[in-house]
Amino acid sequence: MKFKILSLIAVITLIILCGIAIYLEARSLEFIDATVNLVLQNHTLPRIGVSLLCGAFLGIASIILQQITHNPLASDSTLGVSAGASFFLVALMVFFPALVQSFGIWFAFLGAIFSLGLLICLSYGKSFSIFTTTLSGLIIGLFFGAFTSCLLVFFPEESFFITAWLSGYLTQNNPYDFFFMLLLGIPALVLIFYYSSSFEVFLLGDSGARSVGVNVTLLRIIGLVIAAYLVGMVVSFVGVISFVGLAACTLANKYKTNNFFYKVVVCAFIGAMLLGITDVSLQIIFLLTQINFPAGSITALLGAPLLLWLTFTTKGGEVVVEKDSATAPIKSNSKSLLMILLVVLVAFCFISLFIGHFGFTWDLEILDVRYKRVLVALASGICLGLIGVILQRLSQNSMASPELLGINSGVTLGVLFALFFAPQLNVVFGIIGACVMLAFMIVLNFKNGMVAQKVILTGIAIMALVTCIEKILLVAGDSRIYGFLTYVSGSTYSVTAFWSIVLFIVSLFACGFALLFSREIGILSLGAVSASSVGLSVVQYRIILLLFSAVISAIVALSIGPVSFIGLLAPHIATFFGLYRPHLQLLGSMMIGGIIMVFSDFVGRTLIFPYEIPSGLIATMIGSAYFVFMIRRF
Amino acid sequence: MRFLVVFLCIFSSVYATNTSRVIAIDWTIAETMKALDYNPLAIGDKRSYSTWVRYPPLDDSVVDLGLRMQPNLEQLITLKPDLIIIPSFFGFNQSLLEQYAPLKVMDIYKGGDVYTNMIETTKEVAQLLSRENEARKLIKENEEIFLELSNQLQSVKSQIAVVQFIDTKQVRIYGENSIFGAGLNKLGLKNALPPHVITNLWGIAVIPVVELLRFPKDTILVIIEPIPFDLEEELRRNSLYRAIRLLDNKILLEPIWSAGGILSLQRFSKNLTQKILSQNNP
Repeated sequence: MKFKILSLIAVITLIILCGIAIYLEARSLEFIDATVNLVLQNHTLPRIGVSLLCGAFLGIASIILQQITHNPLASDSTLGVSAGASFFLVALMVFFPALVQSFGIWFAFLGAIFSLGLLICLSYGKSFSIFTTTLSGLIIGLFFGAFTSCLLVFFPEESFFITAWLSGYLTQNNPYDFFFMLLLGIPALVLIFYYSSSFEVFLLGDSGARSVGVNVTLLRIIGLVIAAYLVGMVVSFVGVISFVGLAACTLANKYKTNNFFYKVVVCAFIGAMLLGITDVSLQIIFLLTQINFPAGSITALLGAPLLLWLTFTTKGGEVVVEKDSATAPIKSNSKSLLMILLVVLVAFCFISLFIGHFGFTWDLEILDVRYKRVLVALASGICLGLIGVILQRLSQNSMASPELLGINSGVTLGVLFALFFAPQLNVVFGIIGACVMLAFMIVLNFKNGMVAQKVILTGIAIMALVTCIEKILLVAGDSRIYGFLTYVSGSTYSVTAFWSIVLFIVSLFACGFALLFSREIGILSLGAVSASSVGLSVVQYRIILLLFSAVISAIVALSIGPVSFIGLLAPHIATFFGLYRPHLQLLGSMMIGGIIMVFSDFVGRTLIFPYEIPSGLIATMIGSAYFVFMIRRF
Repeated sequence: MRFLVVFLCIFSSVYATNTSRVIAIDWTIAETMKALDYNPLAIGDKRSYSTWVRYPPLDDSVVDLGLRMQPNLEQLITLKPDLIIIPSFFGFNQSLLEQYAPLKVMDIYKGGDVYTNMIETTKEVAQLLSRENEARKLIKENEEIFLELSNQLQSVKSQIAVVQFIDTKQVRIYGENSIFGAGLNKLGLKNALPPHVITNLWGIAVIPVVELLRFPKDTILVIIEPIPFDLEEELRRNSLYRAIRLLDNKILLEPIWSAGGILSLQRFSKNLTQKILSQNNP
């Protein structure tokens, strides 16, 4: 009943707003004879129609994703589907602009499918546990986001034509897009209707569904294809619209029903209302003040608080320990293995220091530039490797990584502010951002006992805010944003001697600290129940270790940017080499982190000299090789 | 404070005598230097300068420093520059670059009147390079050119809208505080974008293409190339765009860098004048 009243209010609001928009548009065009109808038919009405349609499609796609991954946090934005679709389209536009008109939608669809495929591969082994799926999705989103911003940095001119599309303007210039989207949407809707009763089976869980004789895998693939199709269509027709799908599903979930088709209809309705009301309001703002905001980014502004609220109302923070998918441990002599790693690390450091574009060099001035970068790469690799292990053990989740710790978002937000108000004080602003975020994290999470998963999701919400501001500035032609994009893509470029030494000392300290707590880290990775049964004060150690990770992560983010995936990657490689016991994994992961980072920095500096590829990006590419490796295990 | 004064004295005396090796990381100042007949030692993103700024073309001897946001330090050190000039929005790396050479921050697009900024920056650059005579000549010539051009355009009463198409739905329109706005101003033409519309530091606002309908019918639409590859077809096919009278008397101008210096301003104004005159008396 309540739902009906609310939806009635929403519809009435939308109609009133549409009325105002149409009136304003018509009035401002009065003096131009005979064009009022033309504008309304080609611009105003199609824009309203497209916004409703996109909202509905995103709502439907998200509810399907939620159903097949059993995850109330799933949506096109949180699972990296939009990010994948937009990366594919950006790449197409930069390299083959002539193909966009005819193949754009299929490319976006391919991107969406690709990222969803990755997601399935990463979380399949864990039978789609809520946080594994969410974390995998976020990682995929960050991953494609890193590549997209790299394209923007290296091809600022070529990417000029896509900036409006990236930020998600819903402006229309003819009614055909609307009809075309409607037409293309019909097959998907028919399929959903046809399969809707089958999708309900997912409520039983995978094993339950199998026991009633349903082909779960096939059904899941069908669901994914439909979702990817809908998201790909929205992305290619209008651009990236953040968080509308998630918001629609969250609101719809308040209204409990088991009838999946009914749920789809409700989601579609709410999504349409949300995007419709947002966009019509923006249209009215433009008509009144001439300030033109893109709807796709504004929804992210609204979505961030929503995600926060969701995180803290979602149950299931404490996850039951998942069995690690059985990989045969490589029998190895861990001592000699660690020695080998150490030798490789030292060798890489020397190569990186003495060899560069100009060949082997002893020039002290050049060495002076290089030693700082090698030192910073080494130290941040070590730190990331260490906190990667700690976070993965603490959250009992192999997809946890420092990128996802909220604190990096705080640093990024700080740097973004610095860019506008005091570009030289970026470190100071970064530290302030980190502190604010840290305080925020503690206040929000303290009573929950610092559950790692929730801490991570807090950060993602802040990241959404940053992305939103970034895109608005990009389309406005503000050159300052390229400085920010360069920072985000992660480079050792701008380190000072002082900072490099500080970071190195921090890394030594971190190493000692982590090894000191290695026993507790090992026990905590058994889960809260087992840990407290051996007499460990779970909450206390969790707070200590998380705060430690947060501080280290902030320091690293200040020096080499917020994203590198080393923290995700290094612990996995260490385990792959057979380093299981906590202190061995810490040592191994730390050296592997150092090796990858130093190597990435070296390659980034020398590959296309004098242009530098950010080391974070090279590390991300190495990370993508890891994704391939993970997929091969299926 | 006293230290600063002493420093500045030494600074200026050094650069009055020795001006051989100056690096301009951003294109705005690089262009200004070239206008003073000086080849900067190195610039950032040289690869794209030739497609985006184009004129004045740089000598082959000018070294590429890599991304403007991250000028390559190893390259920079081997060049041993006497002075590096950066715009303020590269302030990120200011303290870093300062270690290798004295640094100077210069902006044209920083708010305030663009043309005044442009002249002042040119004079400042000239002083650093001890090319005051060239600068005086350049500015004098510039005034003469604009005097002549505005005389030629006296009969033109229509407003001018300068836009750049982002895609087939959105355009960037250039306001009073942009290089093109400054050009129109100097030519004695009226910018069609009303001054109350909020623009960014570079004088740019983003509006839907449909908004062009609102400008008076005789407004001359100036489109800065490059245009999206599918624009021509869209303009032909779309019934809404066909109703926009502005698109009938549009003028296409070859790419001009929207954050340029005096020479870019001149090139824009000359090309525009030529196109307008040839349209009026075919």
